[in-house]
Amino acid sequence: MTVTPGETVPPAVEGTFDARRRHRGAFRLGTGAGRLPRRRPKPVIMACALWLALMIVVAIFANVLPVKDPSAVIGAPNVNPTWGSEFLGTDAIGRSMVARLAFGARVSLEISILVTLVALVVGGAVGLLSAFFRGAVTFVADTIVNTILSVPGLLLMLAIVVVFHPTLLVLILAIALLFLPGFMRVTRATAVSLIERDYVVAARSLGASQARIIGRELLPNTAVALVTYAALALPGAMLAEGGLSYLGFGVQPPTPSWGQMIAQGQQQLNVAPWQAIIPCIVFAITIFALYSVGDWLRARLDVRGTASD
Amino acid sequence: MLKFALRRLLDIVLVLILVSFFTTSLVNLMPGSPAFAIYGSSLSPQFLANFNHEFGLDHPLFVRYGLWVWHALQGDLGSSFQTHFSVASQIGSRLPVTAEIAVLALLFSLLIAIPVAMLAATRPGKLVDRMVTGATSVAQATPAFVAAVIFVYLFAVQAKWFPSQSWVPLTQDVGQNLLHAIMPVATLVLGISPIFIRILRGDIVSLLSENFVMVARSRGLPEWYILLRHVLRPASASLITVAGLSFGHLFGGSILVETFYSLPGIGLLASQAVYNKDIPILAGVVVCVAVVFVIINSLVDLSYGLLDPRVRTAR
Repeated sequence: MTVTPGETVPPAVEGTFDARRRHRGAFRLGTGAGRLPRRRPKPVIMACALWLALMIVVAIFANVLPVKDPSAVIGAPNVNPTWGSEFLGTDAIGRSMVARLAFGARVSLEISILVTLVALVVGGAVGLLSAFFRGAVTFVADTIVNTILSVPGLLLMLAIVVVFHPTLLVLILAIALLFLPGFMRVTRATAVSLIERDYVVAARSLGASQARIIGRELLPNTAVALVTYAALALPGAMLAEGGLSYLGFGVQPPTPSWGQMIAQGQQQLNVAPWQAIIPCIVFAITIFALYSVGDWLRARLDVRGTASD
Repeated sequence: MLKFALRRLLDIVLVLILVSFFTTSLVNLMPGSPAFAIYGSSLSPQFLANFNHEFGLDHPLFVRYGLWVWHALQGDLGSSFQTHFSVASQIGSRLPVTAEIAVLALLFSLLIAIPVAMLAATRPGKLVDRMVTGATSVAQATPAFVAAVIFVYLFAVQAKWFPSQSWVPLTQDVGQNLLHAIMPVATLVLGISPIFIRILRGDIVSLLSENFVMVARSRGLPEWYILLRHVLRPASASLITVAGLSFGHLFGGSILVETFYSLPGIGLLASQAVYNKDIPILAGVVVCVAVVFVIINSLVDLSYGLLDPRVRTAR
């Protein structure tokens, strides 16, 4: 191809195509190498990240940290927060609030992370297959997705826990069901636009198998969209778990969870308001932090038109 | 257009068939007869047989589904496992409470969202805009039950302005009814108005840089007139979409809010049905809500053509 001086050659694939490392390239921050100026995150984002780090550490090391047994009665009930040994006080039957919050963090994070993973894997796989095979696969996938979306999330979860005892596995699968449609649609939208790209056509003409095209050409390039959507689904899953356990259908006592603590504390609102307010604040800050960090991540990864809004 | 509408109708029917089949099969997913879950594990075979016969559980799944559809089309959604009352009449008697709360919440969310979004969008990047954006992200991160706890603590326990944990029907005393509705509605508004504000703000910001706004400005039209006449109408298309989709939020929120404030609505009915393992009631609620949701979304799709003439010609 001859290029006269002064004429610009439009990049074939948005300037990001590099045959040697297109797979790794998909994981890079920003679609083009160094296209986004590196900006330091705002203080709010930093604070959110710190809070999340704290929550993760607490959740992982809850049984090593110097907190009491969350289901043991350690003193007088309804003790308000004081600068003593139990600085967040005790609940209605005298259990340590700090310990219950720490173990509640474990439940919340565990469920929301596993839900996101399950929904990502299943939704991603269905999305890829439906983009690749279209026809019947798309029709079946669409019908199932439309059915899931036609029932409000919380009601759908209630319909599942009315039948199955809410064990961890049941909860994870039930909540994951709510996020399948999103993952499926995001993956399919991205994959459909990729199928027409030159490198997929090239792979096809080289006689690559269907599995190879899906696994090696399409999958890595939908990763950014999937990760972005996962950042949105994670706080959503945590909210869903909170709502469910607030209603009493989440993890069952004696395992503590934040939603459960709010529901129990709410009955003490006249006597010991902190019992409900502290878990409320912790829960809201965690959700806020997850959304903020997720938003920041989405801006950094610079994908457009993939997230739900 | 006709083809589009027919396809749409087919989709709706298919979705409703799947939803109702799912709710009918719930009993089959349960390990053992639901009678065990309700009355304990030591039941006489005679009692079990009577229970299964009364609720038609002795038929195979597809027969039960056929019967369910046949009855549902005549307005009979079966009867409760616990109280043996008709499901349809229970849902019907509780519908006004949920509908009142939901409609008020939607109305107030729009009344708040439209001016706030306009205020923020006309001053992008300024203090007002940043405050609105910050407040919406905080509000969005606050789940309904957290907001409810904080509202009750501040306004019912501390200030004693509003009653909580009780309800007065609209037909009995309008003033008392509205007083009781304030906190539940405020809780729901806090959940959905941030979504409206975000969407509308983004829309208005991009619409204000359009040529037709520039033309209107050069004609010397006042800014408020441009906002109301030239910007709000195209922006309302996405607002209606979000309002339609927020039905899910609204209903999910009303389950939490009604349980929290003990309002005798459909949401409380659903959460009590789960406690009591009362599958027919939950199934009835799921199907009714799905029908309403699907109808609302179809109306939203139809409204695009009414709001935006370009869509009419494009099809």
